[in-house]
Amino acid sequence: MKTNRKEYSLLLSTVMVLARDYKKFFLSFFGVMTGLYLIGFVLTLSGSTVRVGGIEGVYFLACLIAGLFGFREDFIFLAQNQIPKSTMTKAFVIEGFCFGLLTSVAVTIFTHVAQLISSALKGHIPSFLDLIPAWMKQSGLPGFGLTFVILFFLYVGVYFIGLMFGTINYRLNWIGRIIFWVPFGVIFLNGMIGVLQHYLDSVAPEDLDVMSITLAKPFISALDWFMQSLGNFVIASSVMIFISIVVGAIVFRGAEVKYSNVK
Amino acid sequence: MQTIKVCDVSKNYRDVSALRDINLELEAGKIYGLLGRNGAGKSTLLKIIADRIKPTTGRVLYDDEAKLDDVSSRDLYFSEPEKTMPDFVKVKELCRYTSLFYPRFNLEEALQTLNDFGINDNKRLNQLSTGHFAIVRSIVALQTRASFILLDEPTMGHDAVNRELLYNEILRIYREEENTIVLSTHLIDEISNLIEEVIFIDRGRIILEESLEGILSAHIYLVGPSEQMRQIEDAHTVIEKKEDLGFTSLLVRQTGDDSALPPGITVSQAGLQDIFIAYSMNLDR
Repeated sequence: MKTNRKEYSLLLSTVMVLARDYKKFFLSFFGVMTGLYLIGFVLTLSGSTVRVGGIEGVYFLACLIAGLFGFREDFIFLAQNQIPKSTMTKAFVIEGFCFGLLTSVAVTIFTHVAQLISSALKGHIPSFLDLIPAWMKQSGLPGFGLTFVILFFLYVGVYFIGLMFGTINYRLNWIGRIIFWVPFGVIFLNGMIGVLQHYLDSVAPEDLDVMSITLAKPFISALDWFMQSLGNFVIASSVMIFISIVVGAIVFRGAEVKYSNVK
Repeated sequence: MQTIKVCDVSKNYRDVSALRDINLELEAGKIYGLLGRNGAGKSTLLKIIADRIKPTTGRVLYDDEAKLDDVSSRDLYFSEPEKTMPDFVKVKELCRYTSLFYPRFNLEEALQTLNDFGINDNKRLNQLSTGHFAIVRSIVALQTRASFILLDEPTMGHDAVNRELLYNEILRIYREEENTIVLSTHLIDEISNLIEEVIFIDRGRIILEESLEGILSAHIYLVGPSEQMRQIEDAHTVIEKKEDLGFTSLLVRQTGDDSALPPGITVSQAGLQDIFIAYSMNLDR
């Protein structure tokens, strides 16, 4: 009997299926990035004071959303193909690193090329990377490498945090989701508003206009520590990646396929 | 994989008992018919066997192992009517992905078979009608050529021609692979030509598990005048009794030591669907 020409290990096949939409993702990536930078260039060349930029930051959200919302569909499809959970867990981890790696490489290259062009045009297009502290910025190849390292840990970390929350959300029933997400959402929003006030408006932690200053302070302290050095940033990101993978794997272990018509 | 054993499996959904103390063994190289009414527990049983959901109590053994690993999981495929595949995947992509997981999957043959059914393999799954989607999932399942293929409602939404084509495809794959195929369906008479073993399930319990041949040979209709039928009724295991215009019809299970029937009573063969309905109605009473 004729069988398929190529045979891959089950783990590799699982990773390939998880990465099935990469082509579409990167096509849309280049489409959106090119479109936005073209608008930015046109605005710069026309002498307009309006600036469009920072689209690289969208890929921070894209990683979070990919992790958070991709889990359910991927898990059910892999379960349909009888993939054991241990293999799925390994595949999710490998695919997460691949996704983060490819996204960070693509964003780094695109951003640097676009910044080179915008410098040549003597105009500055605002970039997500402008948020990186000045001490981290270097020119040439070290700058390229530094940007890549920052983006890699950022995207991979965010992807796994999204995946962990996607797994937790999947395991919970609707009551559990309310109990989990409402307090978590309130604390997180409170912290984020505090962080934005502190960093963008230079408001001292004691003077923050938030629901709870006590709950906002740890967010600011944590971000201050992350930003102190590249080492701190990499350590914090690595710890977050590790915790997300371990917690996600533990939560995932008992997961069943959920059917909409099952009571 | 040679056997799947379901041991003392029960499944409860809050206050609903979907399965109760199910014990079952699926052997290699047979076609099973898993028959039951709506809500009988057929799909729940298949989902537990395929490790999609966990039983409340009991366990499933795969060649006496409690878990499916990377190797043994390639011996099992479960096709179900619920949405378990990504909506935006094209039919040909679905076949290609499944072929990555099941090395014996014949991609060209699968696509050709789907074309024979009139299905455009460039369509996305969410663009298919219920009947076409059922064909796609059934053909994909059969092409995995796994040792155990579980098909839940494989003919849902099919027209008569496509049902016949699918039955032929099931038999073709079975002859080529000599694997185990479990068909869960309501269309009892239609699959009675395919199956070798019958599992009747009702209200979460297995009420009959036997070879098709055994069931058909054990059950007969006895019809005669009511007065004469009353004399023989106690000597038989009566599954169903109908009385009309002075005549009584009994569906009985033969025990082997049945005494000779008095004259005037006719004996006829019972069909699988008649037997199934009789058992279900009997439980209702």
